[in-house]
Amino acid sequence: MVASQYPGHSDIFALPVRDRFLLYAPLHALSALLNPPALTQLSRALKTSLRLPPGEAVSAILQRLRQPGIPTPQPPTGALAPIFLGLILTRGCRMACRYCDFVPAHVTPRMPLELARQAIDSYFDLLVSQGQRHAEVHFFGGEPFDAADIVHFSVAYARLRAAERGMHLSLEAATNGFYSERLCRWIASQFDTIILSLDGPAEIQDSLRPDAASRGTSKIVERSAHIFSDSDLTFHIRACVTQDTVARLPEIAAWIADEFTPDLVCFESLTPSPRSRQAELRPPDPWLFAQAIYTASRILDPLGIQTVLSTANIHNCQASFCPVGKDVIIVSPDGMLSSCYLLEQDWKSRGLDMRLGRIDGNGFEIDESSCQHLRQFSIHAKSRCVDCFCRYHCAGGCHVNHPSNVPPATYDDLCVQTRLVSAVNLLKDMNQADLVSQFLADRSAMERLARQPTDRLEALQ
Amino acid sequence: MRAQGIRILPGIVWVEDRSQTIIVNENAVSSRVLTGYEGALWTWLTQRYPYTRLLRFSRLALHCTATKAQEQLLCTLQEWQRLGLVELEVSNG
Repeated sequence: MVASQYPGHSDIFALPVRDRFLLYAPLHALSALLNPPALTQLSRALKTSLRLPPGEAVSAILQRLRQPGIPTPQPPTGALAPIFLGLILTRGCRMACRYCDFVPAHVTPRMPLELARQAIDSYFDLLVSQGQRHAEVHFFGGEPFDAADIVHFSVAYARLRAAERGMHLSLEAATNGFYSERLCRWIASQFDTIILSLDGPAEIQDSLRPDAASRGTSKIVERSAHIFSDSDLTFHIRACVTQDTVARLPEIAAWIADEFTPDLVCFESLTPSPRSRQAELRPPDPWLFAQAIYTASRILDPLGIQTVLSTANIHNCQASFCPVGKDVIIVSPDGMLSSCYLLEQDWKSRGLDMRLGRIDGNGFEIDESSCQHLRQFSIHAKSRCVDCFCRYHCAGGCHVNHPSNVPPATYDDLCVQTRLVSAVNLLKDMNQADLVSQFLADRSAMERLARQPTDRLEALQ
Repeated sequence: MRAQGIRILPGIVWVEDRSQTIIVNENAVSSRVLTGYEGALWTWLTQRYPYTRLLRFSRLALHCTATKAQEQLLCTLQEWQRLGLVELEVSNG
């Protein structure tokens, strides 16, 4: 909790948007556009217990802000209560995306069937001991369906266990879509949610996401996307955006809208890796990204397809961006338990320890101190984000690849991108399409908002 | 005794969803709903796993010895054969 001049109202932010201010109180789910005198009036009134006359424009806002909002997002407390079980069946992948460090499928160990069964048994035992009625299993990789036999066993076995215990089961997988039609149809019949990596039309997909023999993958992956579109599962497309593809986001969005029917399209900036540097691929320019994703959303939104940047989801308040800090149990092929699905070497190289424990013949062995340690990975430990209006949405982003123990408001490109897209999303929710267009066409206005040293209303002069 | 080959017979169609598998025998104009171990086994069978793999999956899923799993697997397959869903080639090897 950040000390505030406003008794009981610490998280109220004000962002400059051309000649007005966007007032935003995430914990009150309140946003409003105010001119500078109205903002000053509101700020003064919040510092006192004064009431404004009912006719005053800001009195309704003031009244709302004086009501309690939702509680400040906090890490979980008490006994470990995983929101899902993650299974990393293999770290390998038959594709060879130019920005990805996954290793070829044949050189990496797969999770033994016995270990997959033990993980499912231990997870259900934990849920039953806590009186939970809903189980959720997510499959990660590498490419999980490159270990299709383990998925076939695990899905059927989890269903068997859920039915025996009278529990509801949800299944989700993140996948490259590069497999046979028969396997794809089975996935579509069994899973509740599929997140398919697909970067765009054939020219883009084949260039960025070839197979291990440098052949294009678009034909097969598009066939999978059609199968998922035609099924009743929740279907997300995740497109990685580079400096070369950012200007083409509207074209990519139009192509997706023409070809498929996803529920959601997630555009994510490339995360630099040794392989992406070797391929001379770079993340997109954040200013261009904010403009392009807005144009893409104007194509997808009317079709009921959500356009998402994961760090700019303004409809969700959270203390941590990812599974870390949310008590998620992710099982690696070797039996290590963590809440982070990145490679152990990735977090170790940053001096971080994301281990939660191990699984053996007796089930989960979870170290209580490790559990408490992982719960500390939250927005409340991120100095960079102290005064940022996105703090409860982005929550500082990836704990490994986006370290945030830097001075407040040290905003890098990822922050700039998140701040711009979040502000635009707030304005979109207020039906301010004209203002958004003007704002995104005015680089100095975007700079003022993105570079503002503190967003807190109380700090505004 | 073990099943060397297992073939789903022509005229057998099925729909698999998240809670059950419905099998329709178009020849006999009959249907059957599979859940639990039977549903799991049908899933694996339709993915064309060989008998040895079906046996391994069964042993793990049923938490039992290979002998018990073999009994249960053969019993289920033979019941499906009796219903005209599959054709088994059984050997005593």
